[in-house]
Amino acid sequence: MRILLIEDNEALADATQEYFRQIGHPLDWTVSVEMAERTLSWDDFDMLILDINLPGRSGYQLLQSLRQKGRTIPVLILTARAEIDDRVSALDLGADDYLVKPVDFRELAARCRALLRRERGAASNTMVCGNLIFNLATHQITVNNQAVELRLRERQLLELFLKNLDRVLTKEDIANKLYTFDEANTPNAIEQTLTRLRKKLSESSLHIKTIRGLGYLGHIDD
Amino acid sequence: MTKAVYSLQQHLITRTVLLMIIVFSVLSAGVWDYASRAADLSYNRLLNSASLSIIERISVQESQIDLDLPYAALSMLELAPDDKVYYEVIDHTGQHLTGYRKTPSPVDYQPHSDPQFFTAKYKGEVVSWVVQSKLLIAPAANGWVVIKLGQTRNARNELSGEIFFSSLATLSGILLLTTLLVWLGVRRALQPLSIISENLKNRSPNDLRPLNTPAIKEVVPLVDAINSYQQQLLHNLDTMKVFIADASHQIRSSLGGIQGQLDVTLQASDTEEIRSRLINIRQQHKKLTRLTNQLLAHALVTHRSDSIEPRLISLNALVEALLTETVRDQAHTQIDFSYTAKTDDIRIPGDKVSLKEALKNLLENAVRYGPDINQIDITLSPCDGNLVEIIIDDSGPGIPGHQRRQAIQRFSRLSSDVSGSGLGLAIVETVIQAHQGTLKLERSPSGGLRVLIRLPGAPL
Repeated sequence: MRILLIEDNEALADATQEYFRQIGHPLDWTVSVEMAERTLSWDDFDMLILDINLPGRSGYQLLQSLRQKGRTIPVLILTARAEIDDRVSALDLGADDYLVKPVDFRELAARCRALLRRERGAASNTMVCGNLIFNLATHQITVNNQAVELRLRERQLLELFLKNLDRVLTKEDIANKLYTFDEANTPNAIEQTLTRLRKKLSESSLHIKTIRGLGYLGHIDD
Repeated sequence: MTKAVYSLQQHLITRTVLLMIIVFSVLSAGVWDYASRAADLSYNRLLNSASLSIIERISVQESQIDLDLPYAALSMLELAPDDKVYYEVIDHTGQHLTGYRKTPSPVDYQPHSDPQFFTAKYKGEVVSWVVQSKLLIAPAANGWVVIKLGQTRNARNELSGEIFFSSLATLSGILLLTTLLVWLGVRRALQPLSIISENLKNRSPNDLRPLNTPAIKEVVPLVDAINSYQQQLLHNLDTMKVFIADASHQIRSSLGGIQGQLDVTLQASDTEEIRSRLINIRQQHKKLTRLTNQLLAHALVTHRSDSIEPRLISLNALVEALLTETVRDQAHTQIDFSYTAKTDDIRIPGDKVSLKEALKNLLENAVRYGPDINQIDITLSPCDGNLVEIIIDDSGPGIPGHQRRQAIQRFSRLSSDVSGSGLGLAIVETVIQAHQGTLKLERSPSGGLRVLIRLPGAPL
């Protein structure tokens, strides 16, 4: 897993590099878009942490040129402004996530992991979510390397949440994905399945929050 | 959005001049008519007396019509020396008797003893004619003898021209004088405006005195309006000064705290002590970060409330997105959230960025000041009078009634809790005021705080 940090503030870059080294994810660092483009041309990275206000070309210009070339590499924007424009947010410009400076390194690392997880989950059969590992091929689930036995519905529900982390799933969403049209399903059944799943995964990094009136949201806290 | 500037003075004067030109044209036409009629009247009289004296000399002598042309009569017409005179006498049988031949007659002329005047062309010139007849009753000549006498119009035209142009000169004089008076009047009337603008222009920016009210009744409201606007600006400026003073105090205190801690930490040699100092510094720094963010958010919503045109926004979508973010950030906690929207599509005119900032602050407050096991409920509902109600309830300690007013004021923290910036509710209030809404703090059903916001809904 390789991350490229593009940041012109040396103190921040130095600290970020040190923090990521300590948690076992060393990252490369360049100070300008021009240098980043050169680095990207000969090296492969799994994601970018991109500052917006850079000397020379801005972070957005790099992001735009990357997206125009069809490169889907996850980009996390670091910005000093919460809102770039009235209508256009960092996400509209093609970023996968953004954080407003000053950032908490734990938060930054968690967001990076979430992005990488999303990227990797799509490519491989194993989803690693903190201490929870879900093998999509063998249907094996472990928490802290301890196997967890899940029933079919529970496993389907878990897969649904892991594939839609940090997004709200309504009861209808879940019913549509988990049950066929004929199957008698009551919202109650979903609630019961969820309660059992929560209980079995109580030691895991996965939190499934209920937002009454809106739906459910899965989040990895690692 | 700027309209083309037009001059009131120019406008008024142009209109007056236009009106004057119309009056001038109408009067000129009248004067012209009068002048021609006056000239015609005088010269027709001359012509008629000449024709009368000719007609008197017509007699019947021995079965023959005899005319002894009175040259004195024609000499009367010499008052107009440049004009030519033509005459013709036609006998009772309609035959030319004497004078010029083939002179014109009025259309359908019936012989009559009264004179008839007309104008016709003769020998290529416009000639004014009089035609008059005399009934002869004699065995030899029984019938009407017609006499026609004509005179070219040079003298008449000269006379009517003279009358016309002398009247016109007087008229122009009067009109010019009127225009001048109007111009002076307009200038005089607009002078207070120039005095006020000069007064404002020459003012130093530090001169905070109100403008002197001039003793002109019509100008007093303008000066009053300027003065009240100035007072409002001064008030805003004062508020801003107090705010900057408060903010400086807060930032400096925080920075001072951090610097002190850093200095002490540099002196320390014990690793454990350094560590605990660093934890302290980090805590202080977090507080400063939050303060800075809140100050910037406050500046942002204040600025936007003055400058952003409201757009129709979906409140449901805004709250749902915000709630999703909050739940994600609070996923590791024991806080439960609920969301109730009485209608699916509540739209209000407003600024999305500010509203989001305000609601985010309220949710953050509910989390920050609530207990670890907390229940936060958001309710959206349309209510009477095209209003939209947003209720945020928590099950925290709430704010006692007598402190609720104070809670909204800037930099007033109700507890000695270190994490608050003292700006959260001030930001919320600024935003709600900018949206012409109301903000109320009440007691929630679970005994915590209820924040009740009412905002005007989308125009029907």
